[in-house]
Amino acid sequence: MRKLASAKERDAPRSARQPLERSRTRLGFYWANHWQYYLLLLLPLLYFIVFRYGPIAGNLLAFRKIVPGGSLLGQKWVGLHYFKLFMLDPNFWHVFRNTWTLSLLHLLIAFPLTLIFALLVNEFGRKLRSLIQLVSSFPNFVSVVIVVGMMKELLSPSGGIVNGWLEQLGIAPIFFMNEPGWFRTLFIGSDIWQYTGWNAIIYLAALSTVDPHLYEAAEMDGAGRLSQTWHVTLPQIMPTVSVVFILSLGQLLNVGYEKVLLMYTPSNSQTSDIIDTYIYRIGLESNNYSYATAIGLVAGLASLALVLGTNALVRRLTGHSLY
Amino acid sequence: MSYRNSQGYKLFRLFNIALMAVTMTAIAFPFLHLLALSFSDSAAVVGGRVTLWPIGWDAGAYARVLSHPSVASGFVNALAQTVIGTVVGVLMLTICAYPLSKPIKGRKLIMRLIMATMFFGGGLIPTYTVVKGLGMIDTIWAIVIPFCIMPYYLMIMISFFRAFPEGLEESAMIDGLGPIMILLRIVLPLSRAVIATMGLFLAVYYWNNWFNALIYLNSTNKYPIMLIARHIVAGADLASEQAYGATGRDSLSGASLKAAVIMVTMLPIAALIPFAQRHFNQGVMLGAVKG
Repeated sequence: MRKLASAKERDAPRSARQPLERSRTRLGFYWANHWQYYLLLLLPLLYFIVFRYGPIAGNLLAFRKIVPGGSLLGQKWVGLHYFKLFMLDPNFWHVFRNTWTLSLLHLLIAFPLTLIFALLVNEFGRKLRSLIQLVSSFPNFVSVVIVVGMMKELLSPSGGIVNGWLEQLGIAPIFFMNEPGWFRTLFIGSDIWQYTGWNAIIYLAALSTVDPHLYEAAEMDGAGRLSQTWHVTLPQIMPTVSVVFILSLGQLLNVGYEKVLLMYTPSNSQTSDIIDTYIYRIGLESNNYSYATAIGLVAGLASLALVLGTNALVRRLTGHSLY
Repeated sequence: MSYRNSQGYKLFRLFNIALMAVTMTAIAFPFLHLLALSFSDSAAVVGGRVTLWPIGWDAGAYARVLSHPSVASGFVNALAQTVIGTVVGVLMLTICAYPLSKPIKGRKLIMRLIMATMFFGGGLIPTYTVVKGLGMIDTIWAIVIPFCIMPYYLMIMISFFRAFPEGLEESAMIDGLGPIMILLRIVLPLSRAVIATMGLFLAVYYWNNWFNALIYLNSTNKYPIMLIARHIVAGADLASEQAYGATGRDSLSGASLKAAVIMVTMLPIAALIPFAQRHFNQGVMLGAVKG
């Protein structure tokens, strides 16, 4: 847009152009009024350059080999060596499958559940609604360390209350935290427990902005609660739903690795090892920086492609998009 | 006839109330159960007799946890990291968001470049090498600085400043105040809701942080409480007994010790929430409606 405008200015007849001196003073006038804004921005921009764009540039490490004791950015170029390495690494494909399974299951269950929860809470009066919100959003503020710690206590095979209940039903103790078969259920279940109430707030906010007249009109037409929800509520909050959907797809591949790391035990690794925990172990525990960076780069690019793709798709389907 | 009197809707109401009651119980149960465990005596805990009410009141677990040296130092470290992180974070968010809420030149480009970092990051290892390259490893700055501006919070803050009544700032400008003075004297005093919200989010983030401490800190005496809690609670089953020495076994069960650790580390957050609730509903809505 700006380019277009300046081109137009250039092509305008000479008489319409500003004399050089006046435009200079105008720019001077702009700076005199606005320099403080740029002064304020100085530190934040430095932060973004160093801590957000610095690491992006640091991905060069994926193409370079580090010699111990040498520079942090590596000594020599090795091209796609590390990418080839992980394409042939059976462990990588194993964690790749685990990541996708866990993330997709998580999205398919948590995303609709949050929306349904918000719709159900919205049926209550104001007072009850804020009480439900207070209780259900509390776990969001609790550290994952605590959440995993609580799971370990509740699910412990020796003295945990859940196994106590199972015992009363005549079921032998289950080593929940160590069994690969239980990992996904526990991970997704505890995530839903922790975040549904909080994540529903965004929908509740959107629901509160729906014009009540629309419901009245629908009721005049004889619509029941269900068809009101279908024909009034959902279309009205569709922009919010779309944005949340695009954002959660972008987060698809980096879902809760801190929790996975906390829940990881060698005996449940068959299902619990994901790309991020693999990067952590390769990079920081085995000090293979370049290899870990290469994996991280590909995973990051895949996430980016996912966001851009979903954004385009959602825009085509619903007309709403992130940007 | 309104749907409200229909049989189906009444049935739905009943179902909904029951469902919410069950949900609320399921959310609260783990907290209440562990609270009960932490106050029960070891015989009742080991026997599995504790559900929601402590059996044989015994606050010994708390005495043991609070007198543990690394819990005490963890608390102090976490407090320092939380306070410094929150102050730096709120400051950085404010000075970044305020200019970007104004129609200044280059704003669009800067916003795009910031937004882009929400979708593509440097990844764990390159971020680690940057922090290491700056010599921040094993200092509090490695915990505070690399994560002090979260783009999502920035967006909330920008939209708050955008919605700020323009007239106030204009009249101040006519009085000859520059942007910085306007921010300090007029905008900030009226921005308590959003500052409290961001402060709360950041405080929760820094208090709950353990992963960054794990990778960026080497000295155990700098560990924040969550990393200590992880060693005690989420570590191996024997960890608590080792950490507390042989005497830890005599009268207290590991379960009530762990429960007490969980309760103690959660306390500051639990105390903060009701206090900030009023503010953050307003603050979150603001960001939420914008999307």
